[in-house]
Amino acid sequence: MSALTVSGLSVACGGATVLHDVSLEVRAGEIVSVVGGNGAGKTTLLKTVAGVLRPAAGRIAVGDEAIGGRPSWEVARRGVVLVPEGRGIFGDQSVRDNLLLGAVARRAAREVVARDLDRALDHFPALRERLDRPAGGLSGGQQQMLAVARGLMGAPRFLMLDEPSLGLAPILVREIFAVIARLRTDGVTILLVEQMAGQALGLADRAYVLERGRVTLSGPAAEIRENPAVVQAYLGSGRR
Amino acid sequence: MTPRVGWALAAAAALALPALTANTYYLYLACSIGLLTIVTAGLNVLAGFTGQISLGHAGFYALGAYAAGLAATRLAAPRWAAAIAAVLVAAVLGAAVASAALRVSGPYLAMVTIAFGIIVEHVLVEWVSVTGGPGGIFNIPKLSVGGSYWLIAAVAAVALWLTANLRGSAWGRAMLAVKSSEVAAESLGLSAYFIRITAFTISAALAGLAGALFTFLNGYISPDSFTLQTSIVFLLALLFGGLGSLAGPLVGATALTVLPELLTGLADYRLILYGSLLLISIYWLPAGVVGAIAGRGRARTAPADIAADSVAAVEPAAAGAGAPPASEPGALLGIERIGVSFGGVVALTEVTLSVPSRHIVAVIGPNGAGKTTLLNLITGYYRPDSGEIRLGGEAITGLPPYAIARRGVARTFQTAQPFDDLTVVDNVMVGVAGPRLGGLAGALLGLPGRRRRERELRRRAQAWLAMLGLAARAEEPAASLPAGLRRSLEIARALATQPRLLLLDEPAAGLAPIEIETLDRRLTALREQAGPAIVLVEHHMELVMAISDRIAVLDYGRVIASGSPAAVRENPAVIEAYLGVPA
Repeated sequence: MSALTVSGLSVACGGATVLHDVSLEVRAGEIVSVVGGNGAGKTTLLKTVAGVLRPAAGRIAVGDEAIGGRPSWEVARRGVVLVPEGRGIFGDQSVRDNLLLGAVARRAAREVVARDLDRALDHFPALRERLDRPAGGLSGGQQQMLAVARGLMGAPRFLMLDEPSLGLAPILVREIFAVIARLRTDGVTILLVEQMAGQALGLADRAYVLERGRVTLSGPAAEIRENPAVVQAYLGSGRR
Repeated sequence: MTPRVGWALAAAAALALPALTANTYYLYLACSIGLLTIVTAGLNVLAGFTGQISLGHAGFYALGAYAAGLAATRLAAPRWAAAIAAVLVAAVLGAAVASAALRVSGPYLAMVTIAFGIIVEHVLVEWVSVTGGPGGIFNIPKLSVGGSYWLIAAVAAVALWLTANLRGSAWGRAMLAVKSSEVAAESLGLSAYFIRITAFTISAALAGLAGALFTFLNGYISPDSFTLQTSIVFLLALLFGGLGSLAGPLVGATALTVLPELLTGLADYRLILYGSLLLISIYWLPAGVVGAIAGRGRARTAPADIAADSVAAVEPAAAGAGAPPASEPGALLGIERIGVSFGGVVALTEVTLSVPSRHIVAVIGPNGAGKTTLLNLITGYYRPDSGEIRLGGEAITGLPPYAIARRGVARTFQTAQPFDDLTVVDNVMVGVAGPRLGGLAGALLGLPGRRRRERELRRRAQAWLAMLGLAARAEEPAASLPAGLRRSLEIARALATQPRLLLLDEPAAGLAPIEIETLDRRLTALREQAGPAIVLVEHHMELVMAISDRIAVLDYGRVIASGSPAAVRENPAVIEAYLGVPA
């Protein structure tokens, strides 16, 4: 069954068309990675699925339900969660409140939220130490952890991560990828945009390559990772 | 409608009006439009360019009007002398008010300026011996309405022309830079405070000039013309016309003068009209009338493509005025036992670090270890509680950011902060010019020398863009760049200041592996071209290991290890705190 179906999607920002006729599918329980250079339209794709941007044409469906053009809060209530690039944390509020706000759309019982809070903090001990401090006082990397942890608080059925490893120390990058792998075993479907393409492809089931707003390649992640064109264009000699 | 056609139509209408009607009512109305245009053109420099809101400009309008009125009556001064006096009084008081008020900004500044306007209004009412009190000053030798019309139209045209020149100059770019990101502007050696004072003074001077013309038009002035409501109309005209756009003042002034006249029967509801206009501006015309028209035209024009090879011939290292100073004895940057804490939380403790000329020193460590704090201390955004920072032997501890930048320290930010209100090439031109903005008069008048300088700045900026692979996007708005290219732009802008020391905060974050290899080559090339010494905060270990001469490791605000890349990589404390056990 597909968790997300995007067909013929075009998106325009300020007069320029950023996505052209993009079609992709994410099946339930899969990790799908989107690879592409800067300006390829990866962030635009995620924002459009999340309802932050409006599509100019095309269809977006979660399960059987069309969500294209719906406002972001409605999309979020269907268990579709975006961890945005640039963190988007609420700087004046405490770390705890930021995390609890991540659970607002769920309308879950207090005990359930408390349990999830505990679980999210297990992944990021640095946040546990700073629960009652304003989030704006965290370092950049800690804010990135908070953004990911807040995404987890939404108990997503379908999670979109836009560069979750951005600004994190190597030891935490490993933790982030471990968290993503664990989420899959919990049954969460994941759409991953990540510049550490080598690692992302190592984790993903399937992948799409986006170039100048068009899908130019798609297939099993292992094949994409070995594709000479992808290696030359994105992975480089170091295969990072 | 292209801007050129719009201006031509406006000029034709202004020239034709007296021939079309001898009715003094219409001419008087046109004079009012002109006066409002002059004030809002000045306000545009303050609010549109530097992003600061004043709700007290009726005060400067009043100062100009009363200065001119008093000079013309008590001193029997000729009109031109009275007008000059008006401009001087408004400008001097504007500079004084700005120096005090611009310690705050945003809504606080708006409140301070409201207070200023109210004080002026009350002084006009109470200081009867000079101002004539509530009755005001009358029997001021006035101009005929026809004569006033030509004078006011000419001055309004000149005011718009001056602001257009300013917008295209290094001063204008610096003002927009301060509006976009004060923090980034200071990192290029610009004092945001000084630039805002300049903008405020220009706006006060133009308001004073308009006030003098108002006096000559009416021959009578009283405090009723200079209330808080007048200040609100000034700002509303600008917002409605288009904040920051060059034609905005004219369009807004016309709308705000003509609409109330069309609805004279509803004079009692004037405030409701203003309120409605404000709501319309905010909901449907966020960029004003001019912005809405221009925005429609923009969608059709493709972004200009600058051929990369046209600038590739310019060697960036040769493009600069002077090569960076030769290596000094001892370290270029010396940090001695600095410490800082925020609200009882210790961020850095006794950190000592030195960076020799031409070296690349990496600072690594877990998230929250204090790496960015260290950069903020070096660049003056934070003051250390203890310790000393020396640059080329000179103590720079406690200097403000722009002063440190002027000594040759450039930086990028963890979250890139390009000036979103400027184009890509303009961003770099701000860096090339740095604090050397040239004469303000030359910028306002658009003198030929200034134009030559502009071309030179642009040429150098293009060279830096070519080096960072951004030449093709030079004319695009910086806001349209994706995250990774925003970082490249920031590096280009920092390098354009020709720094001795460059601080990079996670330059590889958000770059694809292949892009990181490009960055690696660029940084290596910089070092080979005798470029700046570099302090690199970065998590990408392959990049760090490949290009660093030395690595310092921070953890919990302390240096836990430092040395060569090989030694640091093998250090057990570093592996435990930062690298983790390789999977």
